[in-house]
Amino acid sequence: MSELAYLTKGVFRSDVLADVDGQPRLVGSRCKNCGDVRFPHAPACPACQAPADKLEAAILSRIGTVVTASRVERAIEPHKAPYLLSYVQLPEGPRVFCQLLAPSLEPRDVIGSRCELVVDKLFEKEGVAVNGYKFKVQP
Amino acid sequence: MKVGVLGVGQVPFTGPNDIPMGELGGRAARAALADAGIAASEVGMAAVGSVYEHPSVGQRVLLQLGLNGIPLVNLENACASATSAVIDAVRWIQAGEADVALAIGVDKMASHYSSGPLPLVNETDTFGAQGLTVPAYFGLIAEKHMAEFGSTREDFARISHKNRTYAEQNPFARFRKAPSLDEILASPVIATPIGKFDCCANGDGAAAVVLCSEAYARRHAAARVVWIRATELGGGVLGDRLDDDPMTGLARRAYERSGIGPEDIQVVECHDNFSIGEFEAYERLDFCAHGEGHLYLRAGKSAIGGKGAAFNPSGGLLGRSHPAGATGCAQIGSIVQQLRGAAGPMQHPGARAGLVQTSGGGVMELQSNATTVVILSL
Repeated sequence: MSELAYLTKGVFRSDVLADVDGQPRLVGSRCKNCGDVRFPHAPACPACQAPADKLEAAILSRIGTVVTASRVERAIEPHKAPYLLSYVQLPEGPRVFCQLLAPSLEPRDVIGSRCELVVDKLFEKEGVAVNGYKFKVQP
Repeated sequence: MKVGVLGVGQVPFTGPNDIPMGELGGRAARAALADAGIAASEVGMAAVGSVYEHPSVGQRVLLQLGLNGIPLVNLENACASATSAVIDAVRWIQAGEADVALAIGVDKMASHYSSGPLPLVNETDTFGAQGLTVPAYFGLIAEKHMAEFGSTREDFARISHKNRTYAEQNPFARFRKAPSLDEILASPVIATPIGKFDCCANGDGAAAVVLCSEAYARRHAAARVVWIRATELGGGVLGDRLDDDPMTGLARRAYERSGIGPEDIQVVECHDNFSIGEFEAYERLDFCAHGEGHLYLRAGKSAIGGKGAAFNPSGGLLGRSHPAGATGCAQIGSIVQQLRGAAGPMQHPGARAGLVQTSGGGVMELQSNATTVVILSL
């Protein structure tokens, strides 16, 4: 999965994404003590305070549901408006903050839609694409 | 132990000004001491909130008052810094460590950030790297409310219009001429559904509150004293605030501890950093049911003279502008004036109990950095 290599180090944890059967998957954390699942990976369990060594990687579902979306019209460099931001609900529990790719940039058209994880360019830095995870509304 | 508010004061909140930060805080403190009718020498401790200033803000402010060597705490809790300073001053009095305490908030945020969305911490912040702006975060909350409960962009515009209209009467507000509802609706979208006038502006400003023990109040000025009935402070909670927020639990605890519930409260100053912030407060402080904020607004319940509690009669953050570290003391000041019946054209009739809610954010994986709820009454 070569495109994962474009994820800029220092922006996301290098293990935020995994390649499972040729498809990208988000990796969160699961507490071995209480079962609490978080994305992104928690530094310690916020439910039972178990330390990092009690947290294991949790490979999360690549299909989620759009909980909410807002179209940004005034962006901060290096981002270019307009684009959709969203929270996506995953079946394992976490709600993921992300950019959303959709045929319509109207929030009311996409809220409630099923969506799928993709890897895509977030912005360019010194001419180099910085990729990240996004969700894409399914047709 | 009961703690009273003896005096409140502030300087006008403005755009960028060239008054040094220490002097700004000193002027607000002098105004509060004059309102209390006591000399600076009576002050037994000071708590000073600020967010965007240099270290040792409190030391620079107390120099302006000629105060040497008294206990002094500098506090940073994002937008809830000044409210946190009030709560800290209350605790010193409750602990018997001071008879009179001075809480001050000061920030020159307009001088530091002239306009536009505040930058998030840095590019290693994953939220910022994905293009999040602070208005967009509140846009996400508002869009969800609209989709789920049928509120509209016009509802948010009405909150902005209400608070900005109240600010016309507030001599300390930055914005003294309110835009019309049509102008608010026509203003450029920053992040749907939030338009320019749904956002509070950065401000330069300072505000202060003089607090005292019950015994001191009885000796001094019992007739004018407004009492602090509950003070709740909560730190960060991991998670998004789309559906809930620490303010609900803190408010319920404050209601229980004070014996004063939302039905007993006539005036509220809440954190309307964006118009959706006031909407959230109606619901999350239990002034109406979850999902009914727009109905509370449309019925005129949150208006001065309305049938519910008057929200942000001083103009709120939308009308005053927002020097982050000073806002909480200005909110307390507004409620104190309301309960004294001294709020002039901003007066809500029959105000006997009031509430202040301030939420500070910035660590985006948290529902808020810090949340404060204070209940005051006659």
